[in-house]
Amino acid sequence: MTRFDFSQPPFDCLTPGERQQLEAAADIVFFAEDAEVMAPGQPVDTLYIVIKGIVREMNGDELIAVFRERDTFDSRALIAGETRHRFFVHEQTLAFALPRAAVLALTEQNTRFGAFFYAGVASKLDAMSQQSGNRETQTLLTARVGDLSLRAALRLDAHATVLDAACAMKRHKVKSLLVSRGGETGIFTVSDFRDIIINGTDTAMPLAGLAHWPVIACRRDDYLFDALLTMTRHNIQRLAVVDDDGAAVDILEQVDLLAYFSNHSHLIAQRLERAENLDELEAAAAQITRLVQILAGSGLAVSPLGRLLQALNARLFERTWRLLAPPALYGASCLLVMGSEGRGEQLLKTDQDNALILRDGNGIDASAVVTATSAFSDALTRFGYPPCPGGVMLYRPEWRLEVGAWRERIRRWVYAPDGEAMMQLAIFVDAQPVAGDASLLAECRRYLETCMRDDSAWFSRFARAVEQFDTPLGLFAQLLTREQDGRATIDLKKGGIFAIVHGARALALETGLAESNTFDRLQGLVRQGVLEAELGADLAEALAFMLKLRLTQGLAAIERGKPSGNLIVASELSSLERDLLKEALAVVKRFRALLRHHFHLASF
Amino acid sequence: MFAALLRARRRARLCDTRFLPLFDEDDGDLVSLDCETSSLNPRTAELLSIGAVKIRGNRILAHDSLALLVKPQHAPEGSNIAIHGLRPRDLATGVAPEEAMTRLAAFIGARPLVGYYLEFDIAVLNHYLRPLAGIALPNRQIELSARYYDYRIRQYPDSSIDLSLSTLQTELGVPALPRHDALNDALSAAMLYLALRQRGFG
Repeated sequence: MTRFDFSQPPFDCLTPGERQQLEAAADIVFFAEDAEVMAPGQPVDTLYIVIKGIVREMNGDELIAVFRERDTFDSRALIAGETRHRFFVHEQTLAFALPRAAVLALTEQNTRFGAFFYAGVASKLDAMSQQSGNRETQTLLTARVGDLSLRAALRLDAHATVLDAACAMKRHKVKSLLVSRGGETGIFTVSDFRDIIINGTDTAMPLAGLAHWPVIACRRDDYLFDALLTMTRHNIQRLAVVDDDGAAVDILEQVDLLAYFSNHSHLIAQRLERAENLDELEAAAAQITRLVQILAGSGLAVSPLGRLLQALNARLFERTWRLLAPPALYGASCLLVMGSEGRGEQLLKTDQDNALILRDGNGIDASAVVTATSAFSDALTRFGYPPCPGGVMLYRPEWRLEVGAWRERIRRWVYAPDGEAMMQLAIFVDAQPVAGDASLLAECRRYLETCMRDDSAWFSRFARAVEQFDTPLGLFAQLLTREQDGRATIDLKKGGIFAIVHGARALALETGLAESNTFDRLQGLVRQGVLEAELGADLAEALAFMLKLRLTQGLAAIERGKPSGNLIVASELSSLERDLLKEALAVVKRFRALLRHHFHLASF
Repeated sequence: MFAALLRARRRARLCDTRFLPLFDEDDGDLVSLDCETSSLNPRTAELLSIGAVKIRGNRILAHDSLALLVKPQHAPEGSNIAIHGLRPRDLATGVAPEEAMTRLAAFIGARPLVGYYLEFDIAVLNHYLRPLAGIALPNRQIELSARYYDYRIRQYPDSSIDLSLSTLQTELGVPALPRHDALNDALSAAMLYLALRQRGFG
């Protein structure tokens, strides 16, 4: 008979015997509202687990943390045997009281349990990722043929010639086609040309005698691994996919199937490559969101996920721009993605930050530029990338300039900086070229570097934006709703992500790092000795955790048909997630203190 | 004064020294108590299990609790098995009623007893205690439903007051443990008591 809830971390990693041991030592304590549970100067001899009620941890007047049902407090104080903070009861609280000696004995006995108490952010996150385990293998085993983006089969009549087939295959960039003969369907593939050449077959020969009859097929709801088995058994590279009426409509290529097993993204990339109009691009773009869902669900870390998406999005934008821009314009310009997309940290389609650099004296008709850039922004909106609320989009005149005008703009950003100029520059600093002549961006970059060199006061002004939003831990104040009004939320971007991203950006700019990805910048800063290795690692983990949190809740919002945003609903977090968020925000706080010191921000 | 006299008389009538702890010095602690029985008639009900836990200040000493299964003289009625979940085979491992009573006496000592509809539990216990010790339980009793009634009637005079356990738990903000386990019920009663005492009705 278990009274104690052992399903919560860290208690879930105890063995049954250890659970009994702990339960036998547990008392229940009742605290009235405003009672003081722990305070500096008093020995900490108890670990509390809230059964019901709310306790808050205070450092003077500053709220450090809030503990609710099933939360544990305070592991750090328990290890240290003392606390620098005061713990007050916010709402009548019943808590399990575990004696320090009993908990410490268990930390020695059980390493995983001990890790919770002694480990830093990184290993706690590691413990977390162990929980979400092996969903990846499951999705692969349960994936069905219909989950792949199948190629619509090209169909020719049996009277069509070998030459017809070759032309059609080249035109449609396919390696196989279906052949109809009465009610029967056969298949003709590129490998058949090998025999045709060897045998010296006439290209006017009809397909009827050369195709393979009948085609081997699978159904849309067959498991992928069954399809793979069929291919292996028959030693073939493709299967026809039949619809419910039994008519073959699509082709399943072995390479697509294998790509799905190794990396779904490959399929989308191919689809983008083959797209010939905006409709096809739109279909491929829709798959990108689904890819994020699958990969995030399978436990892929956010940093590689971000880069993968960056690569896919870059291809999508490049294809779109190529379709919309006249060749002369395409060649004489450089299409940029900026902000989070430039950094490779846009996991969901949050907004489009883009710009265009035109070669000086390009002689392209201005109205053609207007038409192409507007069409581009419209296309992206159609693909599900909402317009940038700040208007950072290439159809706006101030974001499509010739190199000379860009230099003038950069000069103004640097020498007459106001708040908006700083933010625009920050977005521009993260720019990556996706299409056209990348040397145009490199030229602007070089100019920016010469402008900024040796002006440390300027870097301080640039970095100052990290002070724009209040102490992130104070955001936990919003958790203190006494369960009355609606749902409490936290703005992750303002609270934590922005400070890390912008702080790393400012330090990278000052150090002259070329990287635009925040994780790369943090590593670079550690390499250059600007950041201590431990803080660098903690910042990367904290950022990854917050991005992941935003992604998870964003995906949940998309599933409910709502736009994803930066607001995190506190009540939807597990107590471990809340714990980790608290730790992540504490890391942000440490980083801000470092930035304040480094850039002398206090003097402003 | 009257209570002291009564205690003295009871002590004089005590015929078994194993129950002397019931007349120990009061150490200021309380004991929350609950019993599971074979029926709801106190005269025929058989004791099936006893749960008791000490309350010291604002702390429920769950680590130092008493949970006893009692081997009944007759098999419990089927209809009640469904409520308390104690099957005859579970109870076969229990202790004899006499041992249960002496261990209970040693655990509760002279401490006041806290419970929800305690009267019934005390009546059943006394049914066992009298033949053994010659006395009824001398401990002071704190009835939660009565304390809760006093608390609510002060707040809402002339209202009709729901005294069901779930209402007490909701109104006093105390979690509901799985019921019909004697120790769980004793813990629930202890939590209710602390919540009432904090409101001035302890």
